[in-house]
Amino acid sequence: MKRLTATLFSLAAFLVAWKLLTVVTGTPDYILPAPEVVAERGLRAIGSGILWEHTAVTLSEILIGFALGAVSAVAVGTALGKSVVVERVLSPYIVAAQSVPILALAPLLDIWFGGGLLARVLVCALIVFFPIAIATMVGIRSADPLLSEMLRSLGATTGQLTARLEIPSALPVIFGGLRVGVTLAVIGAVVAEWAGASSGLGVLINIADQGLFDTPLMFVALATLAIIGITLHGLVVVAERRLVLR
Amino acid sequence: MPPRHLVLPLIALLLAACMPTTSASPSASVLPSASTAALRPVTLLLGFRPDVQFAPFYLARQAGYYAEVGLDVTIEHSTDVLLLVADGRAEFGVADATDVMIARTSGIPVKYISTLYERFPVALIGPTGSVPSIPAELAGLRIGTPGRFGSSWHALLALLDADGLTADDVTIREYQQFNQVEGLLNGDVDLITGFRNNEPLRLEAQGMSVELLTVDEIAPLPGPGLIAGDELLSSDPALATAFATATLRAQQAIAADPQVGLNAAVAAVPAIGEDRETALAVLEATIELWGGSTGAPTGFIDVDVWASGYETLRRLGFIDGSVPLGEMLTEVLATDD
Amino acid sequence: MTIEAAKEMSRASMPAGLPVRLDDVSVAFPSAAGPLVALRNLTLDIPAGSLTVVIGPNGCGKSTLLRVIAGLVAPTSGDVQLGEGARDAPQAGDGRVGLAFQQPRLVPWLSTLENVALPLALARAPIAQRRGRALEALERVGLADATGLRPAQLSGGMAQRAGLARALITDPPVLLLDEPFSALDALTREGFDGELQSLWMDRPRTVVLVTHSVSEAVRMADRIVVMTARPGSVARMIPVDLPRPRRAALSGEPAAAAIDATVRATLAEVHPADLTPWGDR
Repeated sequence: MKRLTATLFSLAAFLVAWKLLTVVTGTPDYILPAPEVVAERGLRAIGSGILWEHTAVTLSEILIGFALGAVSAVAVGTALGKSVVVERVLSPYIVAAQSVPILALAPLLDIWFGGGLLARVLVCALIVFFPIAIATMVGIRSADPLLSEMLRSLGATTGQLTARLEIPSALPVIFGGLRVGVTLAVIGAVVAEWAGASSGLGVLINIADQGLFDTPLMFVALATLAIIGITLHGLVVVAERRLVLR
Repeated sequence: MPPRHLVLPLIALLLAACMPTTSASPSASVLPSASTAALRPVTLLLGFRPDVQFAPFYLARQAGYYAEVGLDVTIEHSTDVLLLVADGRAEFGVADATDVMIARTSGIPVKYISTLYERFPVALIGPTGSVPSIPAELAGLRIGTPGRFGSSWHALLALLDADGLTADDVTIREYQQFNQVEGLLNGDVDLITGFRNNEPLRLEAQGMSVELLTVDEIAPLPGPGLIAGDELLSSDPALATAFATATLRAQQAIAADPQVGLNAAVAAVPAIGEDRETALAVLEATIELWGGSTGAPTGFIDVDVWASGYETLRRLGFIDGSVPLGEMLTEVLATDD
Repeated sequence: MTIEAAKEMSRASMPAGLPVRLDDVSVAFPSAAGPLVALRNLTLDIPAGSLTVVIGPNGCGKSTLLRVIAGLVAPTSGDVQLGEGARDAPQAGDGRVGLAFQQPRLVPWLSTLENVALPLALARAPIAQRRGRALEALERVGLADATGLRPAQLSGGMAQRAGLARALITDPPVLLLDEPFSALDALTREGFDGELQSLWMDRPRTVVLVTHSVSEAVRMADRIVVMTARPGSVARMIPVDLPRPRRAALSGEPAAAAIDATVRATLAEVHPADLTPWGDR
């Protein structure tokens, strides 16, 4: 309950500061809309169905992309963690892929994969891959060697060691990577949409800004993205509390 | 991941970062050295990137036309021209007339003050022999366009609407990276929207002979022009007149001798000089769009075309008619009679 | 028939564990500075069902010796056999050897019951069987109340018992203990030694216990194996013929004291200067 009050208080303070900012600087609604203007525009957008139409697209990109990226990252991270040879062979490519900015990769992926949902899902998967893979690798290596010896003395196979010791030991660190990843996935979805999509919250931002000159609607889209990010992050934290027993 | 109580303030930063912005033009201005101290500094906002089409502005600066009317013009580029000019962060901008109508209806306080392009620059483009001459024949075709907003979209819908069609009667393919030319070249689409002084030249250079279907006779729409904010126009209308006049003067000089424009553009943006031949071709095509029916640019605002465009946009649902046409424009150039 | 003879007979009629034979075993580990020889030419015969204590200071290779018998470390040369059969080398996890460590080494996110059942879970035994046998094992070591607790909730002694229960769950004919009680205080330790002795007398098996406590060695062993300094081999084997069950206050009695002295003398001889053996901790 304490957590909820703290969050609500923080939210209220933020809204008050925002309103004060618009009042004090006197900026017009088409440059920096006041919170109540954004809220009203948001209600209209929900009522007309346009907000859900674009949110659904972006949400599916994020969820599928995150799932794809996270699963492959945990698998690759486990391999990296268990074998120094694998790490030496793979890490140059992984680091190189991470170093190319996603803003530059997204248009390329859009062209290679025909500009459909797949291209955007791949951008999301790519952007979450690195932090989760590295977290997994570090976590796997942090497994207690004393427990490892004990399990080997019981005849555990490599697979059993991985599943019963290394991955559970790695979970706290992996969840750290998942937390970072899920918020990156939101960014990835928007960047991917800007490179090639006909609907989604990123597209809605563009349409609102460049086509309709409706800055409050643009802020509605941004706020929706923020809410998605906060919610998904919160879900990961809840999952972490359930699954990581220490 | 930052603690929860910091997440919201960080989002505020993200929101602030998305606010309209400008970026300075990469071209260092070449100003006449004399009497800059007495000149009124003024900012002109252009869209996207520096281009040979902006030759009149480069020429007016370099040849001193702006200085002669007491202006020291800085050119900047932005994707939020209308919003920033409305807010007074820049004095003048170049914008599409259809965008001005939509922005004004949304409550953005800008006005269109002078015509730069008498002919509407967007057309439907396709291989010679396969471009319909009437909109009705567009039904069922695949059309490539950058996105569902902007003057290209307005023109496409206006054309379709002229014969009672809608976007649902054709197959739209979006090219967010503005590479619809490729779609036409590899046959993914039958027609594309494009700018008359751009895509056709690129297609011809790739060996494709093309035809155009324009809005001019079918669904007249006003072309791009200069804009200024309401506040500037009420407080200092003479400034707007001076700027528009000097700009028109440069346009007319270039229409008479395109090389003058090309040289000014290359001086301002050296990258343009890397392919002077293409740049000149684009500039000459652009000059044709400036002059339109009268042959030479006049800056004249054709209210009949505007009224027709206003009605079309209202029918298509882009504007709701709550703001009358008269509030959207004001003629700042002195008229001869 | 004397009581002792009756006990001997009943002991002989139960399965008494496997004999352990090490024949000229050497173990060398690769290291940056060249091979590290932990054991060299070690020969040792441990009779089935006996309780052997291996003693020596840290670094003499006694832990390596246990790991060789457990099948965790393969000898670089020489032979290890469990049992009478021709080629009966140790194989980690086949259930013939139970190993208890100095630290409890319990998996922190599993309950005590799940920890004890772990060897069966790894062998994919049916769940009902795992539960049943784990409960039995916990009862045998006196931890019946702790089944649902997590390792963090157990005291040191309880955790060590749980480790022992895990080692015993497959009812292995060979039980190895690597200084299992050295982390506990002296009183608790004496109590555990007594419990271990009872468990072994109730259900005999071959036990090898590593320690660096001389009094513990005398209390527990049928035979005491004193190891040389590294590289380790057998310095001396000292039989302990004292009657069982032995009590903690044993060290006072003259026969025990004599053996104690012999062990200490051997240790002093084999590990001169700073490597003198410790007393009881």
